[in-house]
This record gives sequence, C-alpha cells and structure tokens, in this order.
Amino acid sequence: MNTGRIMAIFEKDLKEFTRNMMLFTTTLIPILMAFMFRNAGPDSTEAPAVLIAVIIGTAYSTILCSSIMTMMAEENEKDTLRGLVQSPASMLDILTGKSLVVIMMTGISLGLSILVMDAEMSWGTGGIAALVLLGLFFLSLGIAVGLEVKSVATTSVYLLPIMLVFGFTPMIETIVRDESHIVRQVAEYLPVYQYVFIQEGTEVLPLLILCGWAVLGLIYAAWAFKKRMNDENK
Amino acid sequence: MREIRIADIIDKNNDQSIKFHSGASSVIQMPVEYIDRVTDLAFKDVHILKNTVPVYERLTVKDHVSFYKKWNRSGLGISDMIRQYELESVSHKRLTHCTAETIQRLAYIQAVLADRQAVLAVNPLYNAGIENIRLFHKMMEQMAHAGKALIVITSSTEEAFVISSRIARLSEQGLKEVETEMPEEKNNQASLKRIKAKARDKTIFIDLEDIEYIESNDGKVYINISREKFIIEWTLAETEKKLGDYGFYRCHRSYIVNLDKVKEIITWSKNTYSIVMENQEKTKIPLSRMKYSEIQELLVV
Repeated sequence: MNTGRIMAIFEKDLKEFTRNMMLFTTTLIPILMAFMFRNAGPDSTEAPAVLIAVIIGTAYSTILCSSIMTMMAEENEKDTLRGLVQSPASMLDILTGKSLVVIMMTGISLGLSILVMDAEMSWGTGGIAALVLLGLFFLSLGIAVGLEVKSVATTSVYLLPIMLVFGFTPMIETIVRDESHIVRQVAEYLPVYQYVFIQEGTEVLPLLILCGWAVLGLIYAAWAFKKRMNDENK
Repeated sequence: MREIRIADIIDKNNDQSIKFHSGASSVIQMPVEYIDRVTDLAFKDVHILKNTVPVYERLTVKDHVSFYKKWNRSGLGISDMIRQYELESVSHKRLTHCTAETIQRLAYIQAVLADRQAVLAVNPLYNAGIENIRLFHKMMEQMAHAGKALIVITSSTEEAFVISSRIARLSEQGLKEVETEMPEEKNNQASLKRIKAKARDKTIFIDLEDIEYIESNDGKVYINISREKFIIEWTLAETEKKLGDYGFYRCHRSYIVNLDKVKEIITWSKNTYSIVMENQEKTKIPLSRMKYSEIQELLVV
C-alpha cells in the first residue's frame, strides 16, 4: 500500500468520474427514486423499511458496484494500466484509489436520498454494520467483475442480473404476491432483505447471513485478483 | 544492468546481447519480427515507449501529466515538462480533442517520468513530425541526464539515423554496427542521362532527374522515385562514380541523393543530421557528419 499512489489514482478517477456522464448520472438514480417514493407512499406514515432497503440496494448496485466495474473495464479496454501495474501491490493501490472514489460518491448519493425520504432509520450498531457489510459485498462483486471483463460493453451483461437479483430484491414482493412461494423463500436469504429484517428488529441471524455474503464477495474478488495477476505475469 | 540475449531473439546460437547501460543510449535497426520478439522479451521493469500511448480521454493534458508524476513520485515539475514539450497551448484541453502529435509528446513525457531505470523505445518516430523528432532528442538528453538506460529499436534505417549517427543492425547473423565512414573516391565520366533498373521481370530506364535518392540495403542497391523502389545492378560505389557529375552526391555510406531534390538539412543534435527530400513523404536521408559542410557548399551557387 502506497498512499501517494492511492491519492494519485483517487484524484485522477474523481476527475474522470465527474466528467463521465454514464457514471455521473448513476448517482442521481437513488435520489430520483427517493423523490418518487416520498410522494407515492401514504401521507401520514413514514417510509417503510422495505422502501429504504430498495433505495440502499439501488445505490449500492448502480453506483458502488457498477461504477467500479465500469472504471476497471474502461482501463482494461483502453489498456491504460499497462505501464502502471508492475506488481500486485500497485494493482491493490489502483483498486483502493478507485474504491475510495466510488465509496465517496455512493455515500453522498445515499445520504441525499435518505434526507429526501425523510425516513426514520435506526442507526444502531446493527444497522450500521449491515450497511458496511452490504457495501463490502457490492464493492467486491464490482471489483471482481471489473478485473475480469475486457470491455465496458461486457459489464452490462454482469450488471443487469446483479441489479435485479441483489439490488432490487424487495421488488419481488410486487411480482410474487404469495409469501410462501419458493422464490420469496429464497429471496429472504439475499443480502438486501437482511437489512430489512435488521430494521424490523431481529439482528443476529440477518447479520450472520450478511457476513456470509460479504465473505463470498471477497472470495470472488480475491480469486479474480489472483487470476488477473497471473495473466499480467505471462 | 539487465540485458536481452540475442540468441533468444533470432533463435540461433549467438553469445551477444542487448545491454541496458545506465545513462547511455543505443539504436538498433532490425526486421519487424525481431522487434516483436524483443518487446516480448523485455523484462518487466523496462518502460516500453511506443509511437503513441493509451490515454485517459476525459482528462486534460495537464491532469494527465500530473497523474503520472504523482504515480511515479517523480521530482520533475509538471509545468516545466509541459513547457519543455511545447504543450502549453493545449494544457487545459481534454485528450479526446487532442491531436496524435500531442499524444505522442505525452508518450515521451511518460517515458521520462516513469520510475523505471530502463526504457525500450519501439519505433518511436513512426508518424512523428519534425517537431516531435526534435523533442525525442530532447527526451534522450533528459534520460541520459537522469542516468536512465535507453535502447531504441526500429525497423527503418532512415529512422535509426535520425536518432543517432551511430547505429547497429540486428540480422540473422547477429548484432553488427553499421559502418558510416567511407573511402574517398572520385571519378569523372559523362555519357548517360538514363539509368537501367529492374522492376520484377521488366527492365526499365529511368531519367536521372526523376531519381530522388539511391540507397543500399542488404547488399542490394535501390533507386527511389516517388514511393517506388527499383533494384539496379551496380554497387553504390559504382553508382556514385557514374552519377557524380549529374548532381548526385554520396551523403552517407548507404545513400546517394539527387542534390536537385534536397529541400533542407536538419541538425537533430551534435553529429546527427538529416537531409529532407522534396517529396510527398519528406523522406529524411541520413547525412554523415564528415559530409555536413561539403554538401552545403554543393547546394548553393
């Protein structure tokens, strides 16, 4: 880890992020959705935990996961990393620098969305731990795919299922209404649902499941990293 | 310093090697296939400089230089580099809107900023304009000053001579220095206005005034007329003898130029000169150091 290099990448990618319309507009999606949800719900009650979970899922999948994926894919496509990656350490610097950019942008966007929703959220340890673990899961998923794909166009192949399955999970309630349906049963083990459960009061089991997802994400990212470094050394 | 073994490049027994010496540069002309091999063989900590470089298109020229400076923890100043490589007028322009010439200069800057001590330049002057050739020479000076080792490999002999007056050639027989000193010869003879050349199975006669320059390459002598090459059966020395009185001049061991078609002479650095021909491509013919003043006398009344 080299702070100078991480900062160099951070500065460069922050400039690129704000100048890339494709990436920059993603930060607006959760905010727009927040406006929609605020007006859609019944006036008197505050936004239910499920809607907040949808916003979080959207922010994490469309900004955190997709941006780092796209940024890495663009470097791969244009071959701009050729001179920079000399060792696994420099690759880690690059990934850290880029992660800082997307974490910051996700944080800003999500913060604004929650302000817009004006929702009562529990900010206990459980809630915060869940947010961090969810973020870790989506970030490592994005990094893993970003390390593997060769072009920006390919990322959408990965991104769509990730957004539908992991990002918008609670939306399943509007499609499959029968609560005992097998799809609903399985969906309740997906990461975003764990956040809903934590908001609703149960903490231990959902946190354990979230930990499991985060570890899976990290293993995938580590595997992609190792594979990529082997390719670089050829 | 590190080295690349010639035997690995040409797949034949050979105990020579291409060595990277700190602060020194060398220029090697070689066939295209060998260039690819050398590029593959170059060890990981060599910076490879090509005639262009992939860039972050959304960044400005200045942002780009600044990023590479920070990444490599280089002590060189950003605005200093931008001034030295004559990029001040475009420094705030995004790279998508920049010309290939600007991006080539960024490739030179990146090679200077790189934190690696060895640089392999692969056909660096391909598509380079006169200004960029000049800047390439400046880059070489900066590298020598910083104690970096530079090896230039190129497929074109003309390009090699633009970079240095002393070049080596890599062939199946191994690495050999290209000789540039030539024996003095003078002879007067005036009897022909045309020259016999071969184009595949035909024999053609070429008016002397159409010839741009004559070069010898791999033991064969070629006449160059507007982008075409024809083999002639004389040696370069014979040609020089016979054409000496028709305004042709042996400006280099391997080249004879038609003085009528000389447009200008460029001094790249001490000892490195080129003659620019008056043709579409503005061909640059190497000029020997010894001939520098003599040809100038011949070119004026």
